[in-house]
Amino acid sequence: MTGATGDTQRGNAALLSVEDLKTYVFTPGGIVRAVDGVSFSIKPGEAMGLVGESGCGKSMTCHSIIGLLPTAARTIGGKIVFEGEDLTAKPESELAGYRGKKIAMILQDPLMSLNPVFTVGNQVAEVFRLDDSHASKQTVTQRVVDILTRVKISSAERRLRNYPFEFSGGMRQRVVAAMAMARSPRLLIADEPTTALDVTIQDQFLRLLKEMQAESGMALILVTHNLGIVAEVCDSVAIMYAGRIVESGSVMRVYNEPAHPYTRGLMEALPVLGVRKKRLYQIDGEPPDLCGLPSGCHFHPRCAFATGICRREYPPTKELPGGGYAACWLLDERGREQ
Amino acid sequence: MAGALATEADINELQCKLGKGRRRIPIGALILLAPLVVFGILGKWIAPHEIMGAPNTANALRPPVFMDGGTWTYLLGTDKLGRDLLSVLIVGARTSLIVCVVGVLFAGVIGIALGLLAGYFGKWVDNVIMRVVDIVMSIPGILFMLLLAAALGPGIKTIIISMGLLMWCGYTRVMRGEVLSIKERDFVAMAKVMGVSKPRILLRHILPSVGSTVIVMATLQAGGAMMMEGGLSFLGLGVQPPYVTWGRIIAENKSVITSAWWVPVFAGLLMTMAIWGFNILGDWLRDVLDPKMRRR
Amino acid sequence: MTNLLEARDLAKHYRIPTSGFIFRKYKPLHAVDGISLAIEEKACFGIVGETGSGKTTLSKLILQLEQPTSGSISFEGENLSDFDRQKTMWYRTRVSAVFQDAGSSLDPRMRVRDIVAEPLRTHGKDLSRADIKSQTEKALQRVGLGAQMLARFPHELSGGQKQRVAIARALILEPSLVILDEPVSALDVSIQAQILNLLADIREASGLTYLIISHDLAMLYHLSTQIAVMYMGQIVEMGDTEEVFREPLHPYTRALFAAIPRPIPGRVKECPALSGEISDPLNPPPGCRFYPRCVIRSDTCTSKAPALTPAGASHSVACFSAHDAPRC
Repeated sequence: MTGATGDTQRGNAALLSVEDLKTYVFTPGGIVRAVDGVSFSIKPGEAMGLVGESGCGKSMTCHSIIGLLPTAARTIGGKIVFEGEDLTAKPESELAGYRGKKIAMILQDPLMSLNPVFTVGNQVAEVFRLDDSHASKQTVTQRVVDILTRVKISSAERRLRNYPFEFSGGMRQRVVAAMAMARSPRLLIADEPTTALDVTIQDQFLRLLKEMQAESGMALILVTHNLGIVAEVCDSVAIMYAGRIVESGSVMRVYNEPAHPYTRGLMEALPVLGVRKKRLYQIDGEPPDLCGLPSGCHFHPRCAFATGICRREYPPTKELPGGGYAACWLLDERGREQ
Repeated sequence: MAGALATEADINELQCKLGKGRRRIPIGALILLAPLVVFGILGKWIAPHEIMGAPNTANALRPPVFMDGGTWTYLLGTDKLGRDLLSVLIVGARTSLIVCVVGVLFAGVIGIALGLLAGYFGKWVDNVIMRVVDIVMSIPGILFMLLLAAALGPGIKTIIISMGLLMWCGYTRVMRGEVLSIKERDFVAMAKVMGVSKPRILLRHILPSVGSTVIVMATLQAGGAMMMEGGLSFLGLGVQPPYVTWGRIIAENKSVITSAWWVPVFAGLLMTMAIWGFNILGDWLRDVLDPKMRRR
Repeated sequence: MTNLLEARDLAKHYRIPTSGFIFRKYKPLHAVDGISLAIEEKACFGIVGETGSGKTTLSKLILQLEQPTSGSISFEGENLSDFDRQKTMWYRTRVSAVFQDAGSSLDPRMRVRDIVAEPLRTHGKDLSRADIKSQTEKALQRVGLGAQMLARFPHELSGGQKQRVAIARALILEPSLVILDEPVSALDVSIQAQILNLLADIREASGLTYLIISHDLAMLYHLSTQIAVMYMGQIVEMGDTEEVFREPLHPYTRALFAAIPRPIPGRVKECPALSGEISDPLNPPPGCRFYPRCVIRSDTCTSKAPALTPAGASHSVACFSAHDAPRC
């Protein structure tokens, strides 16, 4: 089912419900509104894609959810309701209990995520010991071998003694995924997990992710700039631009009937294998400077359909007939009047 | 993320705390280095007393003005040879300054050149230079200085030469490391693709990128040079009379540290200030020379 | 059409120390192993490959940043290894390059005007200051940048702007061949389209020849006229882009096509993912290098390495059972 903007907990179904989340970064040059009013919800077992270009706030949103923000950033508004509890109201000591156990995260560069001076077996074992610090060495080793085999690392027993640098990029990422899933989290956040991988390795990894998600029933937030990956892995998608979600809905609906000009622009700007395009559709201009956002709709300087009201006021989020939401004046009577 | 919701006031406060920019002018460094530079340049012309001439032991070790027995004539007291301490410090600044600056420059020119060559050309050039570095660095510094002093005779020239010959190795190692990493960067490959000649690549592309590291090193070395000079003076290998440096003042007067403490302490204070000032200057320079720190 | 650039049995082997402290043992790494290709004038030749395919080494060989271990490259019919110093300098004005990460291909300490003018200063000894200035401005205009960019430093530019500066620099001497190594991979999607359109426009207007190296097949499909697929230092399939896409013959090409994510929801992938990883380049499999991961293995594959053989009007493939690979 669809994740939705402005959708406050509709009953008990939502696993995670983010409401009007605001995370700002305080820099010498000014306040960067990295996440500026983001709302969406995810049901258990759902895979949602969070798509946007660099600087749109998708990574910062994820870091806000898991509560690991860089020093200069603060979540200054909104709610993050996970399994009925508001994470923003919790102290750090309680939040630490969620991380890894209920909400896990994997990042882009597996080389950075793994400690180079410990063996892989050691690092995965450490995760298991978090839950059960008194388990015997054999039990833990067996569990490590099991989970590494599950992520399709062959000869897992032998490879326990290897260090991260002895693995290829794709295998390292699988080790990281194994560590993330070891404690059976309810939600996995994957921040650009395949950007650093080759295409064929990416394919392997994404299929694995999908399999594990189906097996364990966990929800997935997949952050990426690649629209192709989202189409293949996710059920729903949210498109972000300059700190806000501009469109969301089921993957089917958004890809077949994109409502927001930015979404449409992105779809048409892609070269697609097998589809002959004379010229790629070009969204003019540059992604905005988050320190000095334009007034009104953040996208209006680059929008082919911008009108007066677009420059003055930020558009309201409207529910779309096909499902999902979009924030654009074209969908509102006031915008259409112009 | 504890207590997420914040008020407007909190936001402003956070911005002030987290968003501090870098100072435009290194005031601290300027204050600390002022004595060295000002005294060094003006020297004799502002010293209240003459310091050359025969020692006047009757005048020796008078206390400074703020202690019992001190007078305004000798503001900071006098040293073992009866000379006005303030004047000695002022005149000595010049020699200290020259020794530091010229010593560092000498070491720098040798070190940078060899480091560039070793890093850029690699293979046997690199091997030879690095082996020389290894050998020079294994020679005990004091022994080296003694030998040089024996060969060239003691004096200011010898000190500068020995400091130069001892300090260049650090530059070479650092330069070589930096060049090795810059060499692999795409813009150096692009320069080759464009047909830019090797010497020009070295000067135009590699040197500016590693230049800032070197300047920072040089400022830190200046502090080290000052300390080295002090050490040399202690061993009697430093500058000879009638030249005087702050290090020499400390060395000459080390025996009276408990009785006439003002002599070594004031000299030591000035030396500390100068070394500290060099360090701050080095940090500031490194930031200023990085084009990424320039505001749009 | 004359061939602008030709490679014949091009090979580059590196000696990698593998063991031993005093008596080192070396093993050869066949980064590029027997590549033959021909790029026509005004063509847009694409080379696709993943990590370890040798595509970057190939571009370095063509740009003379490395010397081949064996084989030859000829430009306009003349062999590169015969070039003396002067001829090499001439070659550098005829062939230029644009690299992936514009952030690191532009000297961070130089201003845009000096970056773009550098080729002029290196080769045009008699140009006046005014000449250089006007040519630099024209080059920037050509890539859609205004004169206010001249005084800026690279870190003050966005990713797209940096890449435009790199392109302006590559074009300022009006070369015949431009080598583009992952020209848009580091850019945002909306900016990629701008740069790809720019590259296409420039090529059409100036009759340039491009050699584009990338892992992004969709981009190559859009831009290139011919394409070559590389795997572990060798070309496994090559031909006119349309033909290769319409009917990919090599099992690796087919797996590659299947693996590429497409923005088409509900698309079902019938093939399993390509299994395993690329073999150890220091110990390549005997015979066909793709054998360990191939789905249509036969015994001949381990004993002999397949050569690139024609399989159509302008299509060749290196596989013994080219037509038997399952389609996905």
